[in-house]
Amino acid sequence: MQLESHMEELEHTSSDLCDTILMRRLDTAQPCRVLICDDDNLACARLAALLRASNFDVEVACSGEEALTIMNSEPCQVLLTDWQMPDMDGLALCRIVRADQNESYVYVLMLTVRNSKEDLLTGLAAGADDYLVKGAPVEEILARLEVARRITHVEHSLRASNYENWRLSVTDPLTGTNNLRYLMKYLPRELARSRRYGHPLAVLSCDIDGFKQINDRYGHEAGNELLRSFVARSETCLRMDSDWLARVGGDEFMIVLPETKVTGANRVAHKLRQSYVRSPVETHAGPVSFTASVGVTAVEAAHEFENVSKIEHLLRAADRGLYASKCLGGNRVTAAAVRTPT
Amino acid sequence: MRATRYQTRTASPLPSEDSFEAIREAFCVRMQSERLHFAALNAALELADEIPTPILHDLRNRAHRLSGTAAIFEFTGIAAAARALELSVTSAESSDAGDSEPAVCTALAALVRLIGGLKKNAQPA
Repeated sequence: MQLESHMEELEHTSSDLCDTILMRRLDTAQPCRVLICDDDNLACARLAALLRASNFDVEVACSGEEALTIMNSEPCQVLLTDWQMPDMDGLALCRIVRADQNESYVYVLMLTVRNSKEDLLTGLAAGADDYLVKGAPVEEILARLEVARRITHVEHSLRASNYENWRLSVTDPLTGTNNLRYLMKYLPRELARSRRYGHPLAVLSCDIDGFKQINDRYGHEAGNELLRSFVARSETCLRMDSDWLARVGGDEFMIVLPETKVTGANRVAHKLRQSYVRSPVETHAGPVSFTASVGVTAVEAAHEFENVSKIEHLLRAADRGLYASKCLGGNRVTAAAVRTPT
Repeated sequence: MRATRYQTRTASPLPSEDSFEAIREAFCVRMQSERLHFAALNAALELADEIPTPILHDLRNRAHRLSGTAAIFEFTGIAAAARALELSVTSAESSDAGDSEPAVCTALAALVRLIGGLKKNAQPA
C-alpha cells in the first residue's frame, strides 16, 4: 500500500511545528497587554494612565509575585518592570519569566533608576529586551513601548503563520480531514498513551470499493465529492472528542478509536459501513452509490502491547483485515489480530 | 507560569485610574509628607555624631523610591537629588569610617530644600 511506502520516511520528518502550543487556537487580532510592575503605587498609576492613553491594555502589579500571578491568569505581551523591589526584584522576575514556557513571548522592558553601564548589562543578561532609566522623557518611554508592541505583534504573526503552516502540513486539502503525516505523528502518541495506562486502542482501515471505476464513470470531480462525503459520513459515526480519521491514500482512510476494544471497534465499523450504503452521494454528475470495506484491529491486553512495538504492526493488522474484506467481495468488516513478531 | 505557586490575585490599589490630575496631586501630597519626614531626619542627623544603620537603611529605601517616582512624574531635579542621596547613603553604608556621613547630610539637606520649594500644584520641570 501507499501507506506502507511512506511510513518510514514520514516517521523521521516529525516537525516541532506540531507542538501542542501551536495547536492552540490563535486569535487573529491580538491586543497589546502591558503589565506594569513597580512597588510604588503612584508610579504605577502614572505609568498606567500614560499607557492607557496610548491604547495599551494595562495591568498593574506591586510586586514580582503579583506580576507572576497576573501573567499566570492571563497572558501579557509586555512586562514593564522596576528593578529594585522588596522580596522579588525585577531581575529575579525577569529570569522567572524567561525560564517559564510561556505560550507566547513576553517582551520585558526594565525601567529603573539604576543608570550605570553595569546595571544595563546585568538587566539585559537577566532577560530584559530593553532597558530604560527612570527620568527618561515620557515620549521615550512610550516610543520604547511602541517598539515592544511592534515586536510582539510580529511574534504573534509568526506564531500564527507557524500554526497555519503546521495545520496545512497535517491536513488533507481535498477533504479537510487529517492526512498521513498527522497519522504518523499522532498514532504513536495514542499508542504510547494506551500502553502507559493499559487502555485499549483500535484502528480501522477503510477503502472505498471500486473507487477507480467510480472515477472513470462519473469523473474525478464526482470522485472528489464522494471522498468529501465519505469523510462527512464517517465523522457522524465517531466520537468527536476522541476518535479521529486520516486520509492516507487516494481512497484509503485510517480511523483511530482510543479507549476502544475490538468488539466496540467492530460495532463502529458496521455503523460506518451502513452509513455509506444508506443513500447515494449527490454529486454534480448525479447520485453515486458506494460501499466501503473495513479492516479492524485493536490492542487490549498487556501481551498485545508487547507485540506492537511499532505502529506498523497495528496498521498492518488493520490492512490485513481490509484485504480480507476486499477478497470476500467488499462492503464488509473483517477483524484481524496483531501478529506476534517473529 | 507557576500555576501552583501563584494561585490568587490581589487587586492593586490605584489612586485614581486614568486621571492624570488626580495622580499628580496625590504625588504632590506624598511629596509634602516625604518632606516632613526627610526634614525631621535632617534635624536629627545634624545633632547626631553617627547615623544609626537602621536609619541609613530607611533613608536609602525612601530616597530610592522617591527618586524613581519623581522621575516618572518628570520632577527631574527632585529625582536627581533623591538619587544623589541614595548613592551617598549606599556609600556611607559600605564605609567603615564615618567620613561619608557629611555627604549624606548634605544630600539630605539639598533634597529637603528642593521638596520644600515645591508648590501643591507644581508642574514638572
